[in-house]
Amino acid sequence: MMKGSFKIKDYVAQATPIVVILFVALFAVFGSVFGPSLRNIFVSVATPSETGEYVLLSREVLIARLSDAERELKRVRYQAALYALTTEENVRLRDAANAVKISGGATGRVISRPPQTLYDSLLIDVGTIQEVSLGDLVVFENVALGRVVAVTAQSSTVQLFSSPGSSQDVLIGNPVAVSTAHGLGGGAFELSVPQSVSVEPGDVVRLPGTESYVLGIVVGSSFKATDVSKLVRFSGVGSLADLDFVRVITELP
Amino acid sequence: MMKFISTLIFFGTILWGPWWLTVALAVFLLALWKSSATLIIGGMVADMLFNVPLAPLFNITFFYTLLFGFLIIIERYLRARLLD
Repeated sequence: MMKGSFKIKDYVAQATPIVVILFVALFAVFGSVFGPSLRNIFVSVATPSETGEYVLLSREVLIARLSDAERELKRVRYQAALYALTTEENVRLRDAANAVKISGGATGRVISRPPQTLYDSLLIDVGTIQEVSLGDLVVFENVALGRVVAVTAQSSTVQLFSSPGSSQDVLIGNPVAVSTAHGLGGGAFELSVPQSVSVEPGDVVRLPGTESYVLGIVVGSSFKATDVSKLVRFSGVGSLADLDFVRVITELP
Repeated sequence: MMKFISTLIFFGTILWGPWWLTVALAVFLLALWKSSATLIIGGMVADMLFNVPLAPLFNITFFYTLLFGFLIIIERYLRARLLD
């Protein structure tokens, strides 16, 4: 580069940091405006097509699959009838005992999960159409995963309980103590309990409530003799990488 | 052509790949082709899709954009000091 000459390229190079900062600032202000639309588009694209996998199959294979599917459907229908009877009985028993009613729920497919994203979040394909709302609890089988923090018509973003800075009341130890678990990121948590509460590796940490969901399994604890409390570390149950479907527990009207 | 394919893979990993691969590809794109705009757009897309408030970082919801922004600034600084 010749001294004293002015090139646009040089100006661009010098201005890059300012332009970058400007973009980040603009996104911080306006990013949330376009986010919901983009999430809806991504969920529509990422959800596997129901017919796509059959396009290349032969007629014989399709017939065999259809007959298998019909047999499976009969079995599922029978189980569904049993489930409906059990649910009805459960509702009647809860009414008779004046117990809290079971919350409704929606089953959603997981579109993205850690480690796909740096955030400790899930993107699922159920939204306001399925009556999902902000703050709804998201579970997999009997394991509590997180709460809905953003919802659009067809998608929801779930903040995992293990996300850094997240806090959640839990039950732990013997005798049972109530404590606040703090997320550390990557499925790890920590909490403190009085030293008189016995906590062993492998103990289950649960959410308080009528339907007690598991939050994690104790990994270890540490304490100093001079402290009144001890620090307990625990991790979430199962691998998020294998998570395909979750249930959103919607609040009762 | 390589740049175009790499950019496609970069956006593909944002949507379907692990985060560490996305960041590695971002460094790759920057080092080879100075793809600043691609990174900023990629960061915005990732944030709009997956963001949740990050409590340790003052509840920001644009971590990817910020991270890629820092990468671009560092790349420009290093290139100016070491190569140009």
